[in-house]
Amino acid sequence: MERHDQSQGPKIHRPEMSPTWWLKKRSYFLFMMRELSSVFVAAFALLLLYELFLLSKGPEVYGLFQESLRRPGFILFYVVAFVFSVYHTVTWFQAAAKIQVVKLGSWTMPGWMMTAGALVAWAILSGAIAGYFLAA
Amino acid sequence: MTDNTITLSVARYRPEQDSEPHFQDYEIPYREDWVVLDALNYIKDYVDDSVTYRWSCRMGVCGSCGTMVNGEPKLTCATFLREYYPNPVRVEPLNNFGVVRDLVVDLDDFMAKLTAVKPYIVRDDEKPVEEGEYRQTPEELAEYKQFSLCINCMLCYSACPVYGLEGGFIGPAALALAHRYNLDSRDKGNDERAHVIASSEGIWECTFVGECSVVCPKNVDPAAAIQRTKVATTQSWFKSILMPWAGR
Repeated sequence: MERHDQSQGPKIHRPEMSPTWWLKKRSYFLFMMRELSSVFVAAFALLLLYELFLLSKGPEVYGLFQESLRRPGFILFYVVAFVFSVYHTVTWFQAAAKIQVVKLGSWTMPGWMMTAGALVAWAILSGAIAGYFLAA
Repeated sequence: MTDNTITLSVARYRPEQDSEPHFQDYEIPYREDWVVLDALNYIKDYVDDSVTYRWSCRMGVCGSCGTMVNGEPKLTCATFLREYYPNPVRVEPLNNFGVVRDLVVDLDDFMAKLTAVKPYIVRDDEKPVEEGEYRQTPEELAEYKQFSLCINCMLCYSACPVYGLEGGFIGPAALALAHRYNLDSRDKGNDERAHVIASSEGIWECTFVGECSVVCPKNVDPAAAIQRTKVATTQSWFKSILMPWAGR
């Protein structure tokens, strides 16, 4: 849908953006996926909180819920949520490097170095936590 | 001049006769050292003098020749035909702006927003000229230099979907320039700009798509400027709550 400014002065053509604008460029699509990833991160967090709440209801109730998490629907959700969580984290660290300027004396740390450092720290911490639970 | 040719598909809109834009194809000589602006000038000089577009310096400084070239916001003076040859080149007016005629877009909205952020040094008091200039250290210059390179070409507005969807958004270049002056050690206009840049149509409208920084021909980073302004504004707000006696 398009509109024209018919008021006094030259007739100005004003094109309107299509609702599918975010499908027309890869970077816009990736931006929308970054925004969408928040939904999956939030859903995963809510599910985790609910699981913790069920712990207070005793081992039987908690066990039944854990059993239900093995259904294909939940497994699919966890796979998708994991992919979006990784994407969310990577893009968050990339964004943080643009926002936060780190200065050491007169030297300014390049953004890529901040992102790389955060990603390495994230990988080490994730590995340590995963190792702790797998070893338990 | 070679015998090779290239087709320029130019968006035409003549308000006195067109209800909406359409494309007109021009087959013109191809030269490897021509930029898109050279091709438009050739059309204007030898093929169709009714084609209307803006240009001035032809060296990436004036910022007046921004158009969409094959769907991407570009300066026509810095975009070579050889990047597209032998395929046709589609030239359209910048996205997200009203079209006055052919490739000429309406600047009024941008100019109003640019003016609103006071993109110049604001002082509480001016010292007499005989006392000399306001001096800066290289470190103070480095704080804002990147953001001072903006040429107001509006490519960033054209790439910004927030500006396209929410016309009230002050937009990348104006906010980057506000940030530039807020960082300038000689400037005292932070408070005067705050009510504009921290308004509902200012920095908080930005969702950090980041395309403004990608398309900038001068490597200014408006997306970073806006996010850093968000941080500075938030810090200032917390400070005013926790330490109201300290001022901004």
